[in-house]
Amino acid sequence: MTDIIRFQFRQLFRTRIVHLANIMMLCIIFILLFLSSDTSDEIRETMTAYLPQTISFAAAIALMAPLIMIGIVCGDDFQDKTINHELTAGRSRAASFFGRAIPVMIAAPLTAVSLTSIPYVIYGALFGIGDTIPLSNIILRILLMLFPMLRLSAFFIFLIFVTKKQLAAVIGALGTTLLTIGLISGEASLPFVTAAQHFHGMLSLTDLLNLCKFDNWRTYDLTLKSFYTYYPELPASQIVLIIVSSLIMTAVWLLLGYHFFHVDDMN
Amino acid sequence: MQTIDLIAVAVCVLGCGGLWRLADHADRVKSTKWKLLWLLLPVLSFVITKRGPDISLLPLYLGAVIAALGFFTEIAANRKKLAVSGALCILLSIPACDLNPRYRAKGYLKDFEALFSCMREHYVLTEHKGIDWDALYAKYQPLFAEIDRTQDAGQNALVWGALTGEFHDGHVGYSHFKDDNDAAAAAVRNALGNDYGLAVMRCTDGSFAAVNTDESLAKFGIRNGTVITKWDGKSPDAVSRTSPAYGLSTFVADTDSGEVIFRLDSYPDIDNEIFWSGVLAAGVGGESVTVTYLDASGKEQTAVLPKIGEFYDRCVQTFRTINQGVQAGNLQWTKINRTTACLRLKGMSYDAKSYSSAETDAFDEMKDEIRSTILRYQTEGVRDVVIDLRSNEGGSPHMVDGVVSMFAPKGEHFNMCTAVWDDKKHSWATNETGSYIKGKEIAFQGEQLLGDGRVILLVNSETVSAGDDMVKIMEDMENVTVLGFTEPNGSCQAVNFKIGDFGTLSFSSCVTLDRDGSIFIDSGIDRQSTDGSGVQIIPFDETAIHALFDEHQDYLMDKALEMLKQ
Repeated sequence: MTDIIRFQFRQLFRTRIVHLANIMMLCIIFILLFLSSDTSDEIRETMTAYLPQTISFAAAIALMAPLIMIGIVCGDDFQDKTINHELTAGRSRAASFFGRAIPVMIAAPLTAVSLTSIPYVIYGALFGIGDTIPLSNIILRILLMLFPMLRLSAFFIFLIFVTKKQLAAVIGALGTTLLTIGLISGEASLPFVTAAQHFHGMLSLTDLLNLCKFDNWRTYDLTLKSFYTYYPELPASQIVLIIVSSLIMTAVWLLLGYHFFHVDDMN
Repeated sequence: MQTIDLIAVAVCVLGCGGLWRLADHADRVKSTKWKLLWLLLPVLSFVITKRGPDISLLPLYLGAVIAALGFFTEIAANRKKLAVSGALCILLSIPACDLNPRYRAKGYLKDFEALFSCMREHYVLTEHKGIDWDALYAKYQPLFAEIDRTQDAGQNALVWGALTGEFHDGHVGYSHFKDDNDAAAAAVRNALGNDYGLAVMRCTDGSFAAVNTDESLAKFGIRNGTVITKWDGKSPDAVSRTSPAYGLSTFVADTDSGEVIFRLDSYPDIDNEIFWSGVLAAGVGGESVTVTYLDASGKEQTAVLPKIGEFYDRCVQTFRTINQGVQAGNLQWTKINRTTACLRLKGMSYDAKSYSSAETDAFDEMKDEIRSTILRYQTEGVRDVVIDLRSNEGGSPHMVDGVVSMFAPKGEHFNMCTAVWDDKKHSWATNETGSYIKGKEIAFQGEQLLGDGRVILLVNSETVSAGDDMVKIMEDMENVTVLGFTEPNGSCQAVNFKIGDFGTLSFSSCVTLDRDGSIFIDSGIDRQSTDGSGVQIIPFDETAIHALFDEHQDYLMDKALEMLKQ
């Protein structure tokens, strides 16, 4: 199995479309950050003041990265029958499944979290970090994002192994992004958003968005300038819940995906 | 059990039946795709429950998972057993929901804790009004704990009304969500008590008079204006204070549209509270009440009045008649007579764009509109303007500047000051004495379009916020007279909201200051707001009562026209 894992890593690093997509997403996030930044006072907000207002959109866009990677590593191998050849060559189904699942489960969450955070590192370097929110809190939240991303990646792996089609990855990517943006915008009246909230344990989107959401109180003065007071501390129970539920659901999705693939007809 | 949960249970049990039937079929077609159907139940069990998961529905979720285990087995008999076990487990959720008193319970106490602590941290008039947060918490926490136990949505609305009423601040209020409109309306109806065929109002001379009387009282000689000396042996204002509706700051909204039908206020200014001090008395009593009144000869008489219904409708009608004003669009002009026009301002908002702008030219379009209307009226001989601010619900202070600038004498006029925000403390900055620090002054230029013409402002106790602001700016101007049965509301800090699970709490969270750095307008511990001192109070007496309740006149408008004629 290790050679399959190694090969999948090599494929990820050498596939131009992956890099191109990541760079494009990075550019989109960065441009959006700059365009939506308030310059009315001719002084841009510092990174820690700006991040709470925008990170959920950055995360929503970065969510597409795992889909693209999983689509290429898993979906593509179904399309060009690589997996069929592997199995006829005597590889076990476990090796084929986990040989693909493990590399993307490592690379996809790391890439998504990097795409979310790199623009803010650049932004902070350009306009200052500030002290609106403790940096340690931001780092903790970004690290915790790895867990929901892991759960989401496992779900996408299950989806690809059931459908055996890259198209599922494309639809999944668009659906997930739309769902996330719907959740961010608070359009809870939309039926799919209500459903997504109840899928909380399965898809982890609400966990992800809770990490992007910094409780705050906004007030304003007569010139309508806004002032924010943030309450960024995450309760320990919430941290534990995010980690435990993510790990359990990751295991469940992988188990379901593997079990399906294990007895699946490969025609 | 709620219908939506019952549907979820039924669908999942039927789903188990379907899986039981498909257990063999899946073997026959030898397709792995069929297996995915076994995963459908856990998904359905969550999606159908619109209000999210509930601990009482645990058997439903467990049953769905048990049935879903069929995904992992290749033996049809085992799949069947799992489907049956799942269905039985799912059915257990019906007694579980019925037996659990906390099934789908609303967390009223949790909501109170969250909203209360937010307001405690951000309410800007704590010192000014002498709010004792600990005492309030000690008083209301047990009430909300009881509501949480009884799940009484109507009581929740009433207790929030009582709590917000304690602040005597027109900006402090709780709006329950639409789901609870019916329960809240019923609770307010119940709190207002019984109808005995009349309402009671305090007259300017301190006596109490019957108003809005039912024809059935004519046989006792009680009609609009009859002096009521006692209500069940006590003074009407003392009785009014015993009403469950006394001191509430709450409202009744239409269930469908959400539009406010009726509002009860706890008035920031004590003078307004005194004006309305007898109004709730007429709902207090049992199957009958003993009313002592003065007959036409001035002799004290007693009548036993039976209950004829609920006081709610009569009370609403009484408030509406006294507060007056007509249903009109905002910024609507009417030519009252040859020399007078009326501008009705129901709220201080012109359009969404200007409302969210603090630019000096944001209301230029509105000003152009007002200017051209005045100039047109002037060509028709109009000299004076009545600005009807009754029940003005407030809005943008910048719109106030825009409107007032049209009528104010030429030169610069001060409106109010902003306060300074302390970025380090995340609160409004204070000096060593604890007072807020003055920031930018908001001012405007007067145009005096009316020349020598006069302006009369009509106000009532519901003229609030930016409405208060307008009165404060204009009441000292030489060409302006303010008329009302009462002063304006007396609340002018800017408002903010905290959304809870079952309603929204609004409160003053943005500081506005007067030129000397004191709190702008809002009443403090003495319950005297700093606007309204220039209001020419129109006596609420027998003449006013007859005009309002017998002749259905717009009494204040008539008084304004009379004054302009003089």
